[in-house]
Amino acid sequence: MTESELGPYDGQWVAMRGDVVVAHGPDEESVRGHEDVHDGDLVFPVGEPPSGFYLINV
Amino acid sequence: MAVNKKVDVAIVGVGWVGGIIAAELTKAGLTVVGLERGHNRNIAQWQPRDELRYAIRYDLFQNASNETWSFRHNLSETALPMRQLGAWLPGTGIGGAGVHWNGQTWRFHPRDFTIKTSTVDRYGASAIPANMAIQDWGITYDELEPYYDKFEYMAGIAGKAGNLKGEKITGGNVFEGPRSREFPVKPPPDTPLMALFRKATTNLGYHPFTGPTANLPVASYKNPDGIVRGQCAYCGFCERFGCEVGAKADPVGTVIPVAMKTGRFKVLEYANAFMIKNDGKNAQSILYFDGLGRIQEQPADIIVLGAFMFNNVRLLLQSKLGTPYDPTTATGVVGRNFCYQTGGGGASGWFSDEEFKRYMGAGALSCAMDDLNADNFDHTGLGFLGGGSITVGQSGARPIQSLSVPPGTPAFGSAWKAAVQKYYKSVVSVGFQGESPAYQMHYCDLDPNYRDIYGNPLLRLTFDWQPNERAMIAYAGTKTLPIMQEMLPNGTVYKSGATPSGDVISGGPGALPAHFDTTAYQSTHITGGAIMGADPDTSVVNNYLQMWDAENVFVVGACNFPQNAGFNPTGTVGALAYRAAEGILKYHKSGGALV
Repeated sequence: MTESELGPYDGQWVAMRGDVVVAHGPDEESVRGHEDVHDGDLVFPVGEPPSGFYLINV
Repeated sequence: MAVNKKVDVAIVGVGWVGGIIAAELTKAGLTVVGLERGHNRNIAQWQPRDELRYAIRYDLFQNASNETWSFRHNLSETALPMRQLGAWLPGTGIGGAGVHWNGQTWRFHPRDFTIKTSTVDRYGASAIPANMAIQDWGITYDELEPYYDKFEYMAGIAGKAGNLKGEKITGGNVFEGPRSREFPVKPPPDTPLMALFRKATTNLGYHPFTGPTANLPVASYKNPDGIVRGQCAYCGFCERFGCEVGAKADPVGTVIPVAMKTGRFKVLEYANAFMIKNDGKNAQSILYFDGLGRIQEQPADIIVLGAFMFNNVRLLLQSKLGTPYDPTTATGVVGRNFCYQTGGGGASGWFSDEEFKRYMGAGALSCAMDDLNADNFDHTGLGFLGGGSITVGQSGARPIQSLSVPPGTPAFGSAWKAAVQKYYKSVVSVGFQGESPAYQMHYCDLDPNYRDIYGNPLLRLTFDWQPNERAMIAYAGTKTLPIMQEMLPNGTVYKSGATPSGDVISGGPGALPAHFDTTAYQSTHITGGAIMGADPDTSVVNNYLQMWDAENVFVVGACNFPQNAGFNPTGTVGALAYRAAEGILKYHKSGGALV
C-alpha cells in the first residue's frame, strides 16, 4: 500500500509504473522519450490547482 | 432525557432521501418522524440573489465550527480538522442539499452498476490497478430504472430520451440505458452557447444532447402527487441558493408537503442525531441533541439514516452498527470505498467579439456529450479506466465569483478591470466531470484526536488522487481542447508568458494537484462509506438499502455508491430513496431480510 509522493514533481510531467515515478521532465515529449519509460507506463502532468468544474469552471 | 412517542419509522435527515421516504411511507399509512439538525424554511424565506450571504458566507451549509471532518492523504499522515468549508459544501436544514443543488438529474450508465464484471469481461482482470476496489452494486440499471422514472416524474425533469425501450433516438443521450418512457418535460431550447457546443461536437463526430434538468423550462408542471411548480426565470442563482420562484425541484416544494398533508409526518428541527440504540441485530431508537443541547430519544420500529453521506457513516460508526472497515486487510464494511468526483481537464475560451449573455442561466442548463464517459469508448492502450461527462453549461455568471479573465492577465489594476469588462459576457468553458473509483486505502473512520461541539469524534477521511485518475484527466484535456478550438476557430491557445489578446483559449492535457486540496471548492459529490452490494462481507446494505447486520435499519443516499460515476449523483440518490421506501414498506408488512 505504498503511495507515491508527487509533491517534488509539481509543475512537471511524470511517468509512473504502479506507484513508482520512473521519469519526470518539463513536458510530455521529454518524458515519453525517456529511456526508462516503457509502454504501459502512465504519463501525466502534475500540479494544476483544482478548480470548480461545473459551477465556476473557467 | 425525554423519550418521544414511538412511531413506525424515524428518519435522520430531511433532504431528498428523508423527504421521499417520508412521503411514500405516510401515503401508505405509516407514522413517520424526521430528525433534522437544521431548521425549517420555505421559498418565501430566500433572500433573492444575495451572493455574499449564500455563495460566499455559506448560509445554507453545514457549520464547520460546530461539526466538521478531519482529513489525511494516506495512512501514514495524522489527519487534521477542516476548520472551514472548502472542497465540498454539504447542506443543512429542511430540504438539505436538495435546496441548493443545481438541478442536474442524471441516470448512471448500465455499466456503472456492473463496473467490475464489465471491466473484467472487456479488458481482463489485469486491467484493474492494484488497490483499486471497484465493485458491482448488487443491483442492475434495469432493476433501478422504475425508481429513476419515479423520481424524474415526481421532480418534473426536463430532457429528451436517447434510448427509449432500447430504441436509440438522435438528439437524446444515445449512450444512456433504456428508459421505459420519455422525460416528463421537454428540454429547454438551446441558448446560443449551447447551440455552438452542439454544432462543434457534432462536427467532431460526437453525440451532443441537452442536459437533463430540474430547472423547469415550461410554464407549469403538475406531478403525480398533485404538486405544481412554475417556470424558471433563468436568474442564474441556483447552486448555493434556494430557488426564489420554486422552479427548481427541491424537497421543500415537492415531497415534504406531500408527507405533511397526510398528518402522519412530524419534523423535529434542531435535532442532531448522534447514536442509534441497538442490540447488534436491531435498532430501538435514535438519540439526539435538541436545540438546547439536551439529549432526547426517538423510538421507532424502523430507523432510516437518510442524511448526507458523512453523517450516515459517522452515525453507524458511533453506534457500532456494522463492522468498521480496516484498510490494511480490506475487511469490514462501514467506511469502505470513500470516493469523490474527479474534475479537471476542461478547456476555456475567451471570445473577443461574441457575447453569450452568461448572466442569464439556470443551474442545469447545459448541452452535454457522453461519448467519453464510463466505458462508452475503448480504453485499450489508454492506461486508465473510466471517463466523464463533457458539458458546456449556462448556469449564470454571478458578479463576485464569475470574473474570469484569460491566463496571463494581471491579477489586479486597470488591465485586470479591462479584461473583466471585455470578457465577462463572453468566456466559455467546456467542463469534464469524471469518475472516482474506489481504492483499498480510501475510507472513513472515527478520528482518534478531534471531536465536534458535542464531544463526539469527527469523521476522519483518508483520500488522495491516484495515477488512474491523473491519466484520465490528462486524456480529458486532450479532448476538450479540440472542442473549444472548434467553437472558437480563430482562438490562440495560450502559452505561458504570452500576453493574451483577441480570442484566447486555455486547455490541453489536464492535471491534478500533487495531493488532494481540501481548501478549494471542487464538488459536493461525495460517495461511499455505507455501500450497497450482494455480499455482506463487502457491503453495508442490500439492494433495498437494508442493513445486512440490522434488519430494521435502512441506510440511504450517496453513501450507498460503491464508487462514483462520471455524473452528478442526485438522480441516482432519488432512485435509491424510492427503492428503499418500497423495501421499508415490505419490511413493515412482513419483516425479515428482504434479500
